Amino acid sequence: MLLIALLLLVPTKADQPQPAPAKSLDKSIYLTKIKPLLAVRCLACHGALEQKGGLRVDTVKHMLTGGDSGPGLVPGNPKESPVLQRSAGHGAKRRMPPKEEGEEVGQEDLVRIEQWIAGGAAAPENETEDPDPRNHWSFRKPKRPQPSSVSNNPIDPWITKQWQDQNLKARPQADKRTLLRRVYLDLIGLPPTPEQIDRFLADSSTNAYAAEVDRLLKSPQHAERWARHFMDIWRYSDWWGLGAEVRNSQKNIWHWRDWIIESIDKNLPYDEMVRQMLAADEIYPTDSSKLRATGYLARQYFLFNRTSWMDETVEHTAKAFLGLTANCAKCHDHKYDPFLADDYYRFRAIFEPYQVRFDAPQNSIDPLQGFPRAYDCNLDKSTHKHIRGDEARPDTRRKLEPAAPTFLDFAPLAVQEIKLPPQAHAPEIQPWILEQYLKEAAKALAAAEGKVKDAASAVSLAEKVPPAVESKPGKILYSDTFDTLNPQAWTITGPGIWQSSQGTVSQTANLNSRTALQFKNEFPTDFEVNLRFRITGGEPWRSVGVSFDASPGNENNVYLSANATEPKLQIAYERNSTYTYPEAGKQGRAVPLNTPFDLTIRVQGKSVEALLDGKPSASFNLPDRSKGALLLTAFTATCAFENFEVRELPTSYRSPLSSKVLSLSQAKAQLAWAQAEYKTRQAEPEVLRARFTARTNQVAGPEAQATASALAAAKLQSQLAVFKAQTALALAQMELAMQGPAKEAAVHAAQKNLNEAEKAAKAPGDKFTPLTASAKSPESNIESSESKTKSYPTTSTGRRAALARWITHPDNPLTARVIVNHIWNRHFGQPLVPTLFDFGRKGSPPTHPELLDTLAVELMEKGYSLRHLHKLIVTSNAYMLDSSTAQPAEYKKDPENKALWRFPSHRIEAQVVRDSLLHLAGTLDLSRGGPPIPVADANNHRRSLYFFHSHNEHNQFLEQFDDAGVLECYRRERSIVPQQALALTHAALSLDASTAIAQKLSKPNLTDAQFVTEAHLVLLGRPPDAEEINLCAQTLNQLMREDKNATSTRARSLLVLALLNHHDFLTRR
Amino acid sequence: MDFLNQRRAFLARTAGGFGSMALSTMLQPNLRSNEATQWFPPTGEPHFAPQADSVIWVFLNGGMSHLESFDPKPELDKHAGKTIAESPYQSVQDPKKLAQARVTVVNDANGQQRNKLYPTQVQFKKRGQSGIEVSDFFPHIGGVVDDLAIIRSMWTTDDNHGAQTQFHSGRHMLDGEFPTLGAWVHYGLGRLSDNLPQFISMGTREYWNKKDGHYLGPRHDAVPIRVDPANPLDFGKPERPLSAAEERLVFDLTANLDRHRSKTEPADASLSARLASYELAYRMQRALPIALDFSKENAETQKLYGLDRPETKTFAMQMLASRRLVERGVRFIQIQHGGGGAGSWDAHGDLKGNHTNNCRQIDQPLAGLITDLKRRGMLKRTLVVLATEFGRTPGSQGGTGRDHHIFGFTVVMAGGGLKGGLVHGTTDPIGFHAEENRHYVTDVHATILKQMGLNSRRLEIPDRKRLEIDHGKPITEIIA
Repeated sequence: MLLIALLLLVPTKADQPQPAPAKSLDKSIYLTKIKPLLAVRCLACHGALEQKGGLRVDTVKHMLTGGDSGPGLVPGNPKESPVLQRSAGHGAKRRMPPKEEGEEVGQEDLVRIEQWIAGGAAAPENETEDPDPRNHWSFRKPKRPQPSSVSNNPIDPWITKQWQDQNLKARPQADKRTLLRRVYLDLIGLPPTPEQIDRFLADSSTNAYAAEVDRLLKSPQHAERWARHFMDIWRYSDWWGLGAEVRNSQKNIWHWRDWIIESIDKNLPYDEMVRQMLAADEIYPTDSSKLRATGYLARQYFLFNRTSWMDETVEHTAKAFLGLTANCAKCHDHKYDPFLADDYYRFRAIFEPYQVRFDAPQNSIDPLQGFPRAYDCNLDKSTHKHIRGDEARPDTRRKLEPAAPTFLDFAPLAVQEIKLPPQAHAPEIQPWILEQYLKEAAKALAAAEGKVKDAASAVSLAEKVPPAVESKPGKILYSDTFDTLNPQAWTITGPGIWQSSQGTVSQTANLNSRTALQFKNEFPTDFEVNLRFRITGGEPWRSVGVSFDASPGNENNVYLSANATEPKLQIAYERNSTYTYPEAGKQGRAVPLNTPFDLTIRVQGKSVEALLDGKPSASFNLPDRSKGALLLTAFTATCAFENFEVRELPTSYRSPLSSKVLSLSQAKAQLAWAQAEYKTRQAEPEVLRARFTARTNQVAGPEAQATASALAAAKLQSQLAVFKAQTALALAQMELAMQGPAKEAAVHAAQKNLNEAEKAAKAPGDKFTPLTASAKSPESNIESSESKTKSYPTTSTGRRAALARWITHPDNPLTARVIVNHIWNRHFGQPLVPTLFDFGRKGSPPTHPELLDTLAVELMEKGYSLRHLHKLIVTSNAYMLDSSTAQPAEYKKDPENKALWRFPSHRIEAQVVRDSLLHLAGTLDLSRGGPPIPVADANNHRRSLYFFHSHNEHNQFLEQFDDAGVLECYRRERSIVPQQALALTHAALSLDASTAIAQKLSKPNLTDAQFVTEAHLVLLGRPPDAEEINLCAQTLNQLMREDKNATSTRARSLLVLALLNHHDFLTRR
Repeated sequence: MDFLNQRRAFLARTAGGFGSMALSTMLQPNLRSNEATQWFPPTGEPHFAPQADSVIWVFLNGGMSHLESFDPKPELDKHAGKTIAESPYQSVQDPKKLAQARVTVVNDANGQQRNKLYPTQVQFKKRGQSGIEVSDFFPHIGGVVDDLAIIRSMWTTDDNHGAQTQFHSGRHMLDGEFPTLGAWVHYGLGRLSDNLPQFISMGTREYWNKKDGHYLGPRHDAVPIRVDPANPLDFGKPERPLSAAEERLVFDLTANLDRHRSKTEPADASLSARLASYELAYRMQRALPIALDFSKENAETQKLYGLDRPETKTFAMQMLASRRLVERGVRFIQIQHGGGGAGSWDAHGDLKGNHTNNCRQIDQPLAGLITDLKRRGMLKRTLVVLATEFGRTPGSQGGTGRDHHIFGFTVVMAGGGLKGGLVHGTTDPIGFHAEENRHYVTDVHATILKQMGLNSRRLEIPDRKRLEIDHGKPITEIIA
């Protein structure tokens, strides 16, 4: 009977599993199968979080009560039970869960629910409803719990309590060597040196360990080591993009990295770090040292899509500082936490106005030499919810104001607009900017002065040169009037139809390539050629001229081109079969067909001068000369040659390009130009001062002063413009003197500009140009020019400062817990809350809730001092335990060591592997800070955190050991893969290190056994046992036998190499 | 070869007494089982009986034209020169139909609609017993058409080359970074070989798809190799003098010391994993050069792949290497063809010249691979895929090229339990929109996973809920 009903209700395929026998239809089915299914498929909308249609299904009682449309469940009557019917897709409305919200309930489960309802919907009597999500443990403020036992360290009672509760016997304390290596690797990322080990072993005072810890916490290496941890959490990345285009993060972002290091170094309180990163521009608007912290925001930059940029900012700010998966609420209300989709966009609104800019650093007037920083740029930009997270569908009816997530109501987001000091929104009014400009101007003035001196001595030199001897034409070496094509002088190369008649030699074939007459006679390196010819036709280039130094793939070429669109005289050259047509060697001009031209070419060294009909028309310095043939060429042209001469250069000929000795008029023109430039440079400082003063008064001064100084600056600026125009004219005139008539047009244009500048100077007005001290990063790849040049707002919205205050508010239940968990994770290698970025209801609960809260409160009470927290943790008894797994009873009870009955040994991070190798080898370069090391510089010996590290570029060795991902890295991977063995055995890094380490360990007269012992102590932090000494000694012998040339030094360095691959070397025990 | 037993033996050996569960848990510290959700990391066992053991995934960077390869469109020639609006097919430009595009680079010169219909730049012929039309760019591939399942109805949404990532991960570039198919397979399935990496990549990987594992972790990135027996791996060769004998002694000593250590640390799973990884490293650096040494391949085989011709040699080496690697138990081989810019297939101009050249490079080697796999009986258990990020516009760009086209394009699959000599799905008469049996790129993933015996939902990680579309649907019609 029951089966028949089932078949009617639920269409069953033949191959579906058969329903379970009726006897199992009890409440255990509900608890084991049905309740978990409802939890996954239904509770997001029908549970404690939300009750759509008034219905919640987290208990049978609630289902019986039902919602707006009646009971959800009728025991014994599956047909009348909407919980089943809606899941099966029956009824008029859409099936549950709706398609886009979740997967449909499978056939097997439907059958099971049906059987359960038909059997009376049995449920446990005291079934408790899901608690109110707002009461979730992490959403309530931590309070310091009182332990039942007393201890020096507030950590240990909570650890001990779990051992007792679970009847676990903890490991004993680790030996001194192991502990020392553990804490060194932990706090500074480097193993102790033999001297440091000896010092610690020799110190038997009770304070010895604490003293080591203090020393380490204050060492600069500690700041670098822990900076890398924070760089992981905060997604540090150097810029990446396509070619030179920045698309993600920003150039010079390393200033933020240096800020992180320095902050740790001076134990800047964590809450202050958070405030500076999120809002230093609002809280400390003129403190450039702190402004570097907003690199956190600059790193989020994404050129192409503002929504992606905002999404990442929201997601990772929520995850990193609050342990909230806000990102789940982008498209719909959060399925687990009371985080509404509206909350998501309110959170986004906090960041909506910000953009990135660069301010000039103190030693430069180039802003791009500075660091990227955040500032509020678009104060009025509104934020709208994207329907279903689709940015193409903003809900423009409603504007969402910045606010904290509504369920965290310990304090509102107190947004107060901030009036920025003038130097923050107008960095160009800072006095040092003017100084820097003046310094640059002084340099330019000194250079101009030098130029004047040089130009003056060139004039006196020119004056001393005896008046040029009347230049006489050079001796004729060959002359051809082309009455015939003289076979002694010419060879035809290439195709073409060459004929002579009436004193011309013509090429009459229409070719799409080149043809030429090759000159067979000898001629000197410096020479003059005169060619009289006409271009008669062809298509399209119609180029005719002279080639010299010609050999396959190389030649120099001077030709006239009668091309229809671009007729010209051109000096060109071919090197390695590639032609270059320099603009400097070109004269655009009319080249009519069938008109005779006299082309004269003078070649002196590398300089080539071309004269057309006796007029200097183009000149160019070739990159080089080599020997080759001389040819008369026609390229896609027909032509007629009428006369040809090869001569020596005219007597006293000097190329117009030779600058060594100028003619008097040239030298004078040069001097005039240098003087004009000098005059300009002399005037510049006063103008800079006036522009600076005017801008300062405009931004910060009384109005009267502002007007007066603006007028003064405008006047001086317009005068300077006249000087500049005069300089430009003098330059053009000099070029005319040097290069000839080709420059006439330029002189003309310069004169015109000067006239205009003079005219403008008569009515200078009050417009002036402020000095430049800042550059804005493009807001997107399609930014308008208006947006590019708009000035910085004089106020900031204060939204980020409010967020920073809210996150670091003493009543914020999450902030301290989240950072404590991160720090704990990095000391112990395992966190207290396994889901480091999710403290919400989907996250895992803490393994030691009281401990987490104790440390959170402790951190806040001690002014967020991270150093205090570090010390507390590393001096706890729990931290000092042995890490051995060799305790079968405990291992069986708690294999994952959740109760911390032993120290959780774990693989060291990529940076620690590399830095340790270099450190033990004595070759680690400890210089600090500054621009990143290029990835190509793999042999650099600085600490690993300084390598350039982006999505596209990273150090290859570090990559093998799970280097931080730049997109997110709340927890490092600790894989053990074969590539690591190859890198450690084959990289120059480890092979060089093993040689150096072996050398350092080798004291005179050390036996193999002693060497093995030393190596174990230094590399693995423990002595070898007899078997290990034996294994190593055998290998040393074999290594010596294998290679007749092997020395014991080589064998020992290979032994070190093996130990560098040892599990204990790569493990923090 | 009994892969399964081999793998079990390996797991038993490397995991000591802890079983494969302990090993895989240990190898994934981030992915511990979560009692609340009853979730466990994969065991390495397939979820159901697999039909294929390995995948050879060939990807053409830049976007191969479907219109000049596997999807002939005589209507294009008929209306060539007309705008789409002037042709009988103006309905393809219905804005609703175009809305699937998600623009990555606003105002980019590329990724635009091109309106003037451009004739097919090559002839097509009916080939094989199936009579499926394949263009003259692919005479050799046409020769094995009876082994191919041709899917003519693919679509995607990224109108720029981020679609390369999209094809591999199923997600648009603006969504972030997600694991690629190869990474999922690597994550889900255990080893077939003790001597070789299970996920290998060859060829040109441009900057947007250099990684595979993403949130699954870097251990699921493909191991990049060069088809060069002398130097196939990064760090595969000592960078300072180290003789083979010395190296063996170093590896042996490390292993002996670690093994000795495991006596005092019997329960340290990471120690057993390290022992295993050193064994594999040692074997890998020996096995790879052998796998890549073609000297034992006879002249006929070398010729079959086109090793003897300069224009096909590079790709032929990758194809022959693929067969040899699959033979030796590599799970997933990813070969990217076509470097430079966004990929050499990106024929914005001179499509004819571009595709003549590119097709010539891969035609014979790929056909050679399929022929060779088949005659060795390997095609049954090896799934070969020929994919590309998108097709190319029916309209011309700049008179001689075609632009990116995301609305309809072709993917070809073969072997691994799929049907051959089959065309599945259609585009409209000008090759604009996929019409019948439309498939998003993850349907290709779903098909492959199904053949490999994996259920993508069971691979899902609790904190990384995947969307419905990420899972895709198997293209059941092409499964034998």
